[in-house]
Amino acid sequence: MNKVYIQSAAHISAQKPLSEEWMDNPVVYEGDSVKSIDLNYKEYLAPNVARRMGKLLKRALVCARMAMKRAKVEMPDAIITATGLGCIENTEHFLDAMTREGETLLNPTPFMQSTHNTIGSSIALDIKCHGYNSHYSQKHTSFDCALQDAFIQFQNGKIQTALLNAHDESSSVFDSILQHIDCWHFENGGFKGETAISMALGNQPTPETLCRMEDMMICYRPTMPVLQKELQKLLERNGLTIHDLDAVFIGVNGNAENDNVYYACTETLFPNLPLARYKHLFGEHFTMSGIGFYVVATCLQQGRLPEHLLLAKENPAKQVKCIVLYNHSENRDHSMILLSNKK
Amino acid sequence: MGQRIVVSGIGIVSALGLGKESTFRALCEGKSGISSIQYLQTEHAHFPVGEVKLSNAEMMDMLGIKSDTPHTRTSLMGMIAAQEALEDAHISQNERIALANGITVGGMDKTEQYYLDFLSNHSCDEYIAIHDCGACSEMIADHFGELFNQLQTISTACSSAANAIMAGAMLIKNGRADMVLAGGTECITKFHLNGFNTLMILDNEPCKPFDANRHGINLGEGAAYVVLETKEHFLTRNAELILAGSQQKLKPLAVLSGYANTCDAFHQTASSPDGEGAYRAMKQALETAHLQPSDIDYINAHGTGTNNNDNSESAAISRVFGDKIPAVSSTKGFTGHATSAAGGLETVISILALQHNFMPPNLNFSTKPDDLPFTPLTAGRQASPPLQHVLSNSFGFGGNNTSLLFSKYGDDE
Repeated sequence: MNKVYIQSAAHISAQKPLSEEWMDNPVVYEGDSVKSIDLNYKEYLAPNVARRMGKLLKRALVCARMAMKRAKVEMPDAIITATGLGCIENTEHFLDAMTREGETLLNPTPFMQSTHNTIGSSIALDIKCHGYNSHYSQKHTSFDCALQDAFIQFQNGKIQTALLNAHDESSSVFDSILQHIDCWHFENGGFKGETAISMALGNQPTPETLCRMEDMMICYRPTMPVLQKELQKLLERNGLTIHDLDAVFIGVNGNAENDNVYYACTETLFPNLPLARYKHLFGEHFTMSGIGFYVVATCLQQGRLPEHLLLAKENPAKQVKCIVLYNHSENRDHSMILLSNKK
Repeated sequence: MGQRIVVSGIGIVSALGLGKESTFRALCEGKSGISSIQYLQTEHAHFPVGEVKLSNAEMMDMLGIKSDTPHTRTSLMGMIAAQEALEDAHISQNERIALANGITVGGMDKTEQYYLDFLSNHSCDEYIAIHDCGACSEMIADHFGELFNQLQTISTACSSAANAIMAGAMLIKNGRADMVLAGGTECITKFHLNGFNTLMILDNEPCKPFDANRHGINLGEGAAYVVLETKEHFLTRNAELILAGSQQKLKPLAVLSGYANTCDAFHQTASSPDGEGAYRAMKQALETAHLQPSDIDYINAHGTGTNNNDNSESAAISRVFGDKIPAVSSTKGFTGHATSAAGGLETVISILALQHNFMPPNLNFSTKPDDLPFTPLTAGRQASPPLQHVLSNSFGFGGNNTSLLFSKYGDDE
């Protein structure tokens, strides 16, 4: 079976954009809703390209271009995108006007940019890529589904390169609705963030390669025995045992209901393994596991796990070579991704 | 060549009615499901649409769902079509199956209804968490208890269901699922009716795909799914059913012999004049099936009835098939354009065509444009010799183009 390498990543998020500075000097936030640190997009996108684009599309284009540049890939074989809600600002704009002002005199632009696949197709349009182009919207496992699609196509030899994207934005209406129902309520420094990340994947290691993805699995509403069995199968088919793992990254976000699932499951699935987190730096949103994937890849590339990512400081990880990224979506979908520093 | 992916069950709900029998009957009789708006609340009541002729309450009643359960029209239609497909494939409650579901607007029908409530009071809060596409798939999966052990929602606008079917096949080929229920569901919403209206691509009259005087789309709605598995898995499962005395020897309904997804990369909402994305999708679908253009007996076209799509698609068909273009029809004149579900509806229609050797007509076609390289079927036609290979096109906004290829399951297999 063909292997999959993460060749590059570029993010615009709550941390310093297009940078790995969060490894040593993370930006720390108070408050439970954080906007991404935007770039001056005029420096990156020509006016005729950025015209009519909302902030998510601008972020998406800059991340995609940067990830391809860093990986020295000009034309990926596939563009696969994850988004929980798509360009929600445009959706709200159209919905708000339709509801408040009636069904005449509506502007088509927000509608045109409201479909979720606007993101990946805008990237394709930007580079004139006729290859495979798909979009996944499966709540908090949207990214995991997109990654699995890419992984399968690499394994089958259908593609040699892919651009993988994860994008979600906040908006005033989205924020006030979440607040209204007290959803996504966070404590202990957790917050709602925004996601914009692109990663170039390839089937050959290069000098730029961050790490290798070994395998993954996604499972809907598993019982604990099923989850144990699936983990076992995942390790076995990659010639690994639980002792080969150096750490487990989990999607704890400061919401007790969400976090307790992780603590209960990891206690059974990964006893004695160091636990690490990433959402305390980047926040929570539907496609945040894409950022988690990048965080793990960066740790593997640098061969270290900064202390501020660890959940229990008394149990630090040794040099990291093999990590599991474990996420769940409202305790329904559970996903495990296996990454290593092998080349 | 790898394993053969077979279709072992189909289920459909559309303007043509509930289930494959009523769908096929309507296709044979040339009876369109498009009519004036009955269920959607909109200022644009003059547009003809292909609504499913059931209220949400009637669907909930059929499904045995309590009337106070939060729901969306998209998920209810999805449940009805899923149930038919699962029964058709004789899937028992003890099996575990994946769901690959195509959706774009998700719970927008409820969000547009309760939007101001969401912002001002707590009367409709339970609809907030079921707005997104993923939630819609979860509702459909959960209706069947523990049956579904994997879930993915694909959102590529009007090619969503076709891409879900392709994604389902890839899951099986990679050994990540034994069986997949794949397809899509979408209800008409005020949101996208208005969206298409702002783009001025809705026809005030019944739509006329490929006709010289076509003026656009009639929106439709519905849900349709297929059950996919490998031929070996199907045969083993069937043998077990026979041993248990519960079943006769069954035959797969069709083979999913080819598929391809490409991007037109031309414009956010318009298709390229030379149909580059569509051309590549059809060409690559043929390649994955190891078939030649001359092997195709019938094309179920995307054929929306917009000037732009039909020009682009026919240019692409001409590029792939040259001067030997097979029989072509768009069935949008029957169902309307059911957006995310369209690829599912047309997959089921293509499989019914293969099963019955019947090619449905392209309704409302009367005047051939000078530059149209073919004349679509103006009347339903029994195929002779029998249909072997059928191509189904689904194209979406953003140039997300997908072609699926279905072949007859041979008697000697």
